[in-house]
Amino acid sequence: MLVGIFSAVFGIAYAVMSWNLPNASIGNPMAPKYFPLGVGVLATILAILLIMQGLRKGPAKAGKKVPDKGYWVLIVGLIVCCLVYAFILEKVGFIISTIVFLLGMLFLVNGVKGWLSNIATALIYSVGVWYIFEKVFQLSLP
Amino acid sequence: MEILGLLASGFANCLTVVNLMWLCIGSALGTVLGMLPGLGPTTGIALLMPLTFTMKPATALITMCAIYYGAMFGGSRSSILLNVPGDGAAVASCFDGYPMSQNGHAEAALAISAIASFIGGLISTIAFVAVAVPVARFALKFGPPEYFMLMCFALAATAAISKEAMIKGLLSMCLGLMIAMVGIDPQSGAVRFTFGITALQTGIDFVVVIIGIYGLGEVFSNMEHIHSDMAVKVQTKFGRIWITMEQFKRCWWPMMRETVVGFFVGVLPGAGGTIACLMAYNNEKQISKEPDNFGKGEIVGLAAPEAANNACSVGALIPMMTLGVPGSGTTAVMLGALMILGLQPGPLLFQQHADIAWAVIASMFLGDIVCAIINIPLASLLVRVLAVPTKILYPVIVAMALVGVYTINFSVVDFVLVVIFGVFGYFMKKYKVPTSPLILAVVVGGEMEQSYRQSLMMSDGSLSILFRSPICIVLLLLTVISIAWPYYSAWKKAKKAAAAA
Repeated sequence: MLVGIFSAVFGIAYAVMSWNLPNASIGNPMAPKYFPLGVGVLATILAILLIMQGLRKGPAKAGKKVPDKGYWVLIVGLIVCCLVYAFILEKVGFIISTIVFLLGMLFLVNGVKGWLSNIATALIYSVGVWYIFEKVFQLSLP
Repeated sequence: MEILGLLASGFANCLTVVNLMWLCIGSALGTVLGMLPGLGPTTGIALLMPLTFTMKPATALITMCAIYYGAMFGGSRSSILLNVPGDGAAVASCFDGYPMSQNGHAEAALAISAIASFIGGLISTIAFVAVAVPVARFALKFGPPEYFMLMCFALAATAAISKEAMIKGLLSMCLGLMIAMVGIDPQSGAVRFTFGITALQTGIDFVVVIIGIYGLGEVFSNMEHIHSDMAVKVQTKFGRIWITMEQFKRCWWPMMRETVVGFFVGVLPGAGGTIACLMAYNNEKQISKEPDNFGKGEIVGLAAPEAANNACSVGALIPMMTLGVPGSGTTAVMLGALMILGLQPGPLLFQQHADIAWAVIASMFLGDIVCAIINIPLASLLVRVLAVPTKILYPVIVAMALVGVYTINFSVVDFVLVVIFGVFGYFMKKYKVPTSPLILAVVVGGEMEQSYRQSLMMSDGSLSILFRSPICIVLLLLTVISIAWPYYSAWKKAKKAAAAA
């Protein structure tokens, strides 16, 4: 149901955007539009079908496995870590930023109790990967 | 005879130190990644793909194939020991594998699953050798309209696996096609869907999509249960991992039969390993004289799906290598990686790069042997990975994913994209939207649009060209059948149920 509504909005937006794409300067001016337009329309139709299906069946039954409490804190935390990593990687270099990044994630997921294994994993991984990429693959990391 | 000669030269090309080294590393890494619950072959290849970018094409393809069947071998380890399938295809291995290890026969279970995987892989590789060249020759007749229809069929078949998930599958396919459209249109130069972001002009790299959805998405959804799944203890001490002659004899015919089933299911687009294994399991249960033993630790019930699983994974390589159109999420990922290396799999691969093609085929025989060695004598060593707490493992996987993404373009813009796709993958999983149609569409989408427009140019804008040749019509029929089939079989079942009641 939720998926249906989301996709319907998305499909319509996409079809409208395809319609408004700039015309091609060479050849048939509409050529770059047909395919995306078709996809957008198809997505909208499917989304409407899904909504109708959802309406007929009523709300779906909940899954068997109930997620842990507070799981979304972990997910959001991981996302934040990734974005911070993106921000600092090219500023402070690969080794330092990767150690910080991994420590952040490990303390988040593994907890403070496992601090020793957290630090060990972060150090070994960061230096190890750096070594493999620099020396074995000859790729330079920042 | 000609084929045997080619195969021999393939072995000669494949037997270099570098290739063999990567074959072993790939098989081992694949086995380890396949073992980890929640991370299947697709995630494995997606995460390790950046490793291959600096390699020669043949080595890269050999490494990726090794990861692929390594993961297929490894998937059943956690099914047997933990009752947690490493990937979808290993679900059927839980049914009898876990009871076996509960009864204290973990050694026999590990051994038979590796032996069955080995036999399934070996026989289907022989079949691959026989089938690949004729199929590739036939595919040379394909022009843009035929290719367009073939891709439609592959996408429809992947999306339409079940009636319940069909609409969601097709939606996921649409989304994939949309992602594939981003960037500069190669035919007209028009800039599409970049939202004014310069970095998007060259399009979204499918590696980013793949690592986002399969790598990060899987990790995110595993976060939901990370605290409750901790209690499991893995058996790490084993006796000799082997089976008795009597057990082997009992499994021989089921393995043979289900290898054939698995291979054909694999060649068809869409179906894939999970279906092959469940089919194999049910077949053997029906054939068996003692069907009641199934589910209680029957060794045949483990051997059959394992053989089918590996046969299926080899079969799935046929459309990818010979037609250039993948039929599953995993082979789509491999195809994507090959395109990055500048190698276009398809009928021309066997003509222009015959050395590469045959070296890879030869490596499939060797890889099967390497995997069997890894999984039987070294099994007790490798399963220790399962004892590493997932709480440490998942952060490391996230870090691997990001480093992998970084090495593609050396730009942190991709990090943001990969996180977005990770979130997307997570929600898709949560709302049971299949992800393989999306990946397939992302990989073939660009190609598909090009062949569509080339067809229209050939016919001056008339759509009728898509329905003119006999090959097109057959492919169209197959597309329609693959969408209609789930509805038909559901209808038949309902009718049967009504008649019974």
